[in-house]
Amino acid sequence: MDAIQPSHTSRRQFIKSAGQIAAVSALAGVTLPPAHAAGSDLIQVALIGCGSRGGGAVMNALATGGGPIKLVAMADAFEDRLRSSYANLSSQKPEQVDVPEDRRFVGFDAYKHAMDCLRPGDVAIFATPPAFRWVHFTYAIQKGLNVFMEKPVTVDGPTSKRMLALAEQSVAKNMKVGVGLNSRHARNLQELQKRIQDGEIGEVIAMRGYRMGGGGGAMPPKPPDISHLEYQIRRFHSMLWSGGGVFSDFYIHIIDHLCWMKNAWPVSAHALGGRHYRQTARGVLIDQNFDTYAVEYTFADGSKMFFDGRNMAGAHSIYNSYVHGSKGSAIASRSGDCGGPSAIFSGQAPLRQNQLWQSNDNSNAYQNEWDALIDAIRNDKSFNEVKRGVEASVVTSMGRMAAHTGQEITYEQMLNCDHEFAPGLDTLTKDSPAPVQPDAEGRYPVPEPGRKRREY
Amino acid sequence: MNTSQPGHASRRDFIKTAAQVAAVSALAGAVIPPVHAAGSDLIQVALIGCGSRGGGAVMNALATKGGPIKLVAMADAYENRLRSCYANLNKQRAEQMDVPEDRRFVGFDAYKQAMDCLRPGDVAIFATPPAFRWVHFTYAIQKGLNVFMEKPVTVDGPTSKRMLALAEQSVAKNMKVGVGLMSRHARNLQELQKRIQDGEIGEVIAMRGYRVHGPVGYFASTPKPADISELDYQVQRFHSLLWAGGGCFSDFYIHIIDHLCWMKNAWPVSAHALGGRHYRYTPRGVPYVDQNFDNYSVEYTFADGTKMFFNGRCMEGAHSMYSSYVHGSNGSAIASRSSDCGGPSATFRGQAPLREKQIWQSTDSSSAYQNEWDALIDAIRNDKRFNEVKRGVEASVVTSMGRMAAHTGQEITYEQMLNCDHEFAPGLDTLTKDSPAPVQPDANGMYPQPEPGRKKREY
Repeated sequence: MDAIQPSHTSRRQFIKSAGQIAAVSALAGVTLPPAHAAGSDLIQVALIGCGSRGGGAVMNALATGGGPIKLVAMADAFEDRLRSSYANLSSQKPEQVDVPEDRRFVGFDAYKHAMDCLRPGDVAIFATPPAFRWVHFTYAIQKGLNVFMEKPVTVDGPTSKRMLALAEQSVAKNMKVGVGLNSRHARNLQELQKRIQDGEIGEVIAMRGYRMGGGGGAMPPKPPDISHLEYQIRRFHSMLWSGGGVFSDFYIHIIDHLCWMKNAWPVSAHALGGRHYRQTARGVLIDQNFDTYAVEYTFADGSKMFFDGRNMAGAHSIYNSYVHGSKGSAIASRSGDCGGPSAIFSGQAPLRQNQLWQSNDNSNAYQNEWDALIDAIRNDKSFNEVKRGVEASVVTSMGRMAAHTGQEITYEQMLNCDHEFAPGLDTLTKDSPAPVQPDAEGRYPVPEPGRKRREY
Repeated sequence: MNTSQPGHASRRDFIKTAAQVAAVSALAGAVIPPVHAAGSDLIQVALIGCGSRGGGAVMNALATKGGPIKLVAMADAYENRLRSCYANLNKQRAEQMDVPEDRRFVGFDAYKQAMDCLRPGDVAIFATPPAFRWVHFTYAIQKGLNVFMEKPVTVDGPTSKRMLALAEQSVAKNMKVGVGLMSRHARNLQELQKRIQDGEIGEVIAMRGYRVHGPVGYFASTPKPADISELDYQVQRFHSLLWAGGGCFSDFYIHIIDHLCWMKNAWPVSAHALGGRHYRYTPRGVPYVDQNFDNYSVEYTFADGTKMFFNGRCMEGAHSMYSSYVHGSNGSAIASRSSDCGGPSATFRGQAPLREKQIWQSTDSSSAYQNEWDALIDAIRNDKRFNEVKRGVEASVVTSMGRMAAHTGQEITYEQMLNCDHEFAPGLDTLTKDSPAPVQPDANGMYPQPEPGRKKREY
């Protein structure tokens, strides 16, 4: 986005002639002042998306040091989510939760009301399904807010390009924006990454990441008392438009941190996968996920990253990551998305007797990422993770699309793929048609590798 | 198998008391004399299993140099297979075909009759589905024959142990036995293997093999037509059935798995794998009834912690790849550029196979299928040591280990695979055309499917 708009054009003309992003850019061209000098000012926080991750983000935000911070507004599309999240947060952090009834907003436009409660330089948390990220970020830029947004930040090509343009604007405005790829703030991985980049295991030749467990993303038939739209948003791990499916939501962390170990994004991916189980003891499954994904990512230098994702109860579980170098190997995440201790080994087997180094920092990566964001806000340090977050999201989508289509997909192909899963989310209301319609038996479209050119 | 049997026991007692393998061992204890001195003697060949691979093996056998060689007997379970194979061979190699009607045998015991036409030191070709390998090999050992057997040589644990025991006996008898893992005779791979073992690309850290393409062979099957018996349908569509052929996994993927292990000069110690059957219906809506997954992603682990990744897929319209690669600490290599062992192989500086980084490229383009026969016949004529069965069983076990890991969703070690007591089709040595088929379809004609995480066995 490098369109420079003449300042006398009206907002309406902008939207018509140059698309929403350009319009926002022109309206919100002013650099954000560092409104919160260190320790001196109250930072106000608004939570948009009141699921468990949103609640967790608020807890981390309120635990940051350096000055007063309060939750002042909450928004969710669904009243029950907001209510339980408010009850939970207000019981745990009563002194820092200042969200009276009239600052709790429900509905598809609730995000605007919540952000309207903030002053420029305050913080909006985006913890809704990722489909809405660009919509909410557009408004935050307009309002001059700092942002913490959960991962993934995009799930398809068109919204990725949109978010990259928004990222540029947010940088130009000196906005501080954190992205919930918490691995990047895990001390064990930070130290490992430095050691790998310093050559401790030689040239990185192959990496392996796994998230294989039971369940996750499986979706039983829609109950009659809920709309398709609501069902698809609530079960965003099951739908490609709202959450990128289990692939984007579950697998982005390990994909992201392995790329960081290599210090590069892969240029292409090919992948195998399929949906083996269509049925459980409780009935037919209607979601869009595969239950197995095996992705091979290729870097520009010909080295590889292998990622295995599986959701099959009773099958072998693995949830960790490894790096193989020309002179040794490493455990990146020992367990979970970024769990330590990380370790380095001589040779390719992670044997204790060959261990050269092991991390010992046990700080919480979720807390670290908030400490970094709030510190950047209070001390006006450069801090904007959106571009990197979009790139991680595109790399993740590239693997997912490779599996779903059965084709080799390059980074450029993914970024430029014109299949926008859910156009018009900025004007969505509760009465809008759902972005995906079920077939006669109530099932949402499942990808068909080799048969369909698009993911569905 | 080191059971030694007292010499006075009857054959029947042996079979009862010590299992058939031990019995054969005792009966066939004499070493085969090198009956075919170089160039001097006619080697007679019997073909057992008259499919396209069997016909191809005969063509390679008859093209060997060094002395006269003829096809003298043919056997197949099915008359139509035998007839078309005979017609084809007779058209191409009439002067080396000496298979009158009374040496063409049809039925489940035809293998015996064909081998009965040979003298000790002649060659039997086993090109039936692999399930029958141990049955036929047992008889060949008893008859003192040399053998060429197609891959895979086993598809499950119990028959692998049986074949390893038979392998020992065949070595003790100085039998020359070739196994149709022709990669091992591809000159491009032989030279590459030597270069890798000499350290040209450093320590081998990761290997990749692919056979991903559309459905081929008997990968997929639709419900059995009414005019064929259940047993015949399963034997004839052996890529579709785990008992008969190990499914597409064992049959299609063993070559690349085998030659990559050879590049590493080791067998992997364990495998974990992902896979599933995505497409359950033909594009026209007919259900698939076979036991295969349509995608398999296997990660094999070697004792030193290094890895071999294998991808197998049969999906029309998806990205195709059929090749293999080796990544070392000091460079990389293309092993098979195309298909099971196709050259040119090449080594590269760095991890990307870029022409400007190429160190070496193979130039030999001889046929690996011919080379393996030249080696076998040369060993027979000149009494050189040549017995590939043990290695062939090991390659088959490694392959089965990856398949079982995918089908069960569990990590499977080499020892677990070898010692897995699930014999897919017991009693194949007494099979007749009236025997019940080894697996029974359900009411919809569907054979039992692997269910990763749900079933403890493959089916």
